[in-house]
Amino acid sequence: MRFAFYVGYRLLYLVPQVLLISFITFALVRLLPGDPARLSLGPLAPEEAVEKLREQMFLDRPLFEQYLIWLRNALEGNFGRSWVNGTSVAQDMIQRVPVTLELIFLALAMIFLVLVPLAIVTASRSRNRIVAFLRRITFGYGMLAGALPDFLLGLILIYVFFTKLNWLPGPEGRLGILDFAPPFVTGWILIDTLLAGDMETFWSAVRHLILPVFTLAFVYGAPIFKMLRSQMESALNSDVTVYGEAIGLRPATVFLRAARLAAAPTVVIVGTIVMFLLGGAVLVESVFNMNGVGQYAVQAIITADYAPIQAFVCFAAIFTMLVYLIVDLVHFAMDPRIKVGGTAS
Amino acid sequence: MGDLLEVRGLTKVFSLSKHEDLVAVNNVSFALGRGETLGLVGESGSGKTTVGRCVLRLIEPTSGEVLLDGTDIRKLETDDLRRMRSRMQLVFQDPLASLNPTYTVRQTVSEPLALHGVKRAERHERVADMLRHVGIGEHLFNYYPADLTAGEQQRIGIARALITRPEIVVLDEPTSTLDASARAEILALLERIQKETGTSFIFISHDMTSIARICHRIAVMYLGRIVEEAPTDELLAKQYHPYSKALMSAVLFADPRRVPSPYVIKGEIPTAINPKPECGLYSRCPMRQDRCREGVPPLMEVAPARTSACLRWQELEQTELAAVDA
Repeated sequence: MRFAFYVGYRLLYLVPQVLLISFITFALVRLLPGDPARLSLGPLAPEEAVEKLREQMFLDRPLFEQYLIWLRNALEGNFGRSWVNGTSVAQDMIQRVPVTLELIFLALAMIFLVLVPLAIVTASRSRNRIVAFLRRITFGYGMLAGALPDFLLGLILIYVFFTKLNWLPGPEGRLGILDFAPPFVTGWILIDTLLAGDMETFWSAVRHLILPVFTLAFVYGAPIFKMLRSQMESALNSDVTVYGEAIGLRPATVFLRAARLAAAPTVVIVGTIVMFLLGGAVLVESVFNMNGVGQYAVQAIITADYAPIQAFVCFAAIFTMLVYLIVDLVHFAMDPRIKVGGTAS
Repeated sequence: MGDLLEVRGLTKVFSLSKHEDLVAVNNVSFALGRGETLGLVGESGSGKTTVGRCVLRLIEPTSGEVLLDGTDIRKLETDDLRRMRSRMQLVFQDPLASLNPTYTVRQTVSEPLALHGVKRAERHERVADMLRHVGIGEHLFNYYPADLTAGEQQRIGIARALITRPEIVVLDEPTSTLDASARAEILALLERIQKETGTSFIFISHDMTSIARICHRIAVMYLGRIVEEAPTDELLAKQYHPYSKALMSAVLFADPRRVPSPYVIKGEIPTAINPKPECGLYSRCPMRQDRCREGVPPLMEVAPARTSACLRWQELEQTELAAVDA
């Protein structure tokens, strides 16, 4: 009950935060140089036409009034139109947000399925030959990955696996030219192809996702890997572990407990990493030519396209706050000392 | 009645590389009777903690025997050893670092019982009894370790070590992180518990005043070896090894009549990596002679129930004056 109350409280808290962020963005975007009415009509259009368009776009009204108009429309699900493409921003976002979310989700899944177990296992001082081998492989990974820009890794991977080896498709988006896109249901290509029962396209989508997801996971998993491994090492060397042995716990139990102690602080940085993943997705989408929300935002900024920028920032803000909420909830679940809705006492 | 614990020739070598062996514990032997407290004293790096851990087989000794009630715990199989663990326990130096931060006080103390198959109802009762016994009020039972004071944390550490009614408890500097009043309370608690339960303690410390208060006998360790062993009163009165003598003169006893003797050993404890076959104190000893380098001096019986590893132990009474002059 208290838990549900807390989640509701946090969600309610989202409202003023998003309002404030949306207003600040609204004001800042309008500080960008260039007149959108002039930009959209071109340099040769007569001044009267530009003036007229400016009125239609409410650009002649005071800033706060413009914001209220935007807010009213946004509450009705209308985020305006892109002045560059003339498309509905809401429609664009529905198409593009799932692309980015799918990338982030798969990268996180890869981090949790591969890097997290690796970090935990290689932290042990086991003399097992497989563990020793893994330790040798992962040695330096944390250092290397932290220093490698994601777009560069993406380009190297494309060069090796597409240009040289031709094992995987090049940067042609989510599907090949000859693939038929599945009907839009969730926007997640792996889910939509499965729903359509089109296995051939499904595998093509998988092959197209391997490199971008690997790039994101490799680069952004490094801090999680480093943190978890060092936490695990100190947990294994701690007196808590010695005590576990001293009372006769089984070695596997002692190890799992250490992992649990190591996990709690690591969860906190996972939240931050997810934020970086959203930023990383912007670059990786550009490199791999995927029509995600990141690429969309970059184009909008270049063309001073107010409405998409505004929509993207609001999306990013809500996404960020939801991730933090989830991280906090996971943290509560893992650490009984933290009382929901309060500070650790 | 035989001794509860007998340690013979205990040695622990950590192999650092092909040519470097760190001899943390070097041929250590001692015995501990029921209800007795043996103090292990020495400076950092003298191997006291390693001895404690080896006795509990938390560190695998390189050689030697550890006989608990006649059973060599080094020869026990994994499952037998695990069962044996309820009979021997450990209290740590840093109570907070050794308590699981996600367990409440009650969970912490009942964990060893649960592990050794004690039923829930009995567990509940025994835990409450034990906690009251160590002076933890009922209102603290559901607190987490971080919410408690250091003294309370160490009481929890002691409670969970004693809950399985062990015969022997290794206390690894249990009072060194506590302030003076908490230290006095913990020492009083340990004395009371020993009187009531007859548990044997190995008390590891570099704090001579705590050792003097609680231990029946004291073994002075230096560079992985015991260099002198004697009943507490006798050791406090007279030392038959220059290292013990220096150790004692560094202690400030709360007794104004006692004149501190300025017997000082300069320098640092030498490295335990590949130790030379000579008296470990040779490089620092104010009364060294060439024969001290001819081999490691053995522990010799110098008086009833007293041993010393100094070749010149007889002269030590006179050297006090010499040291004052110097």
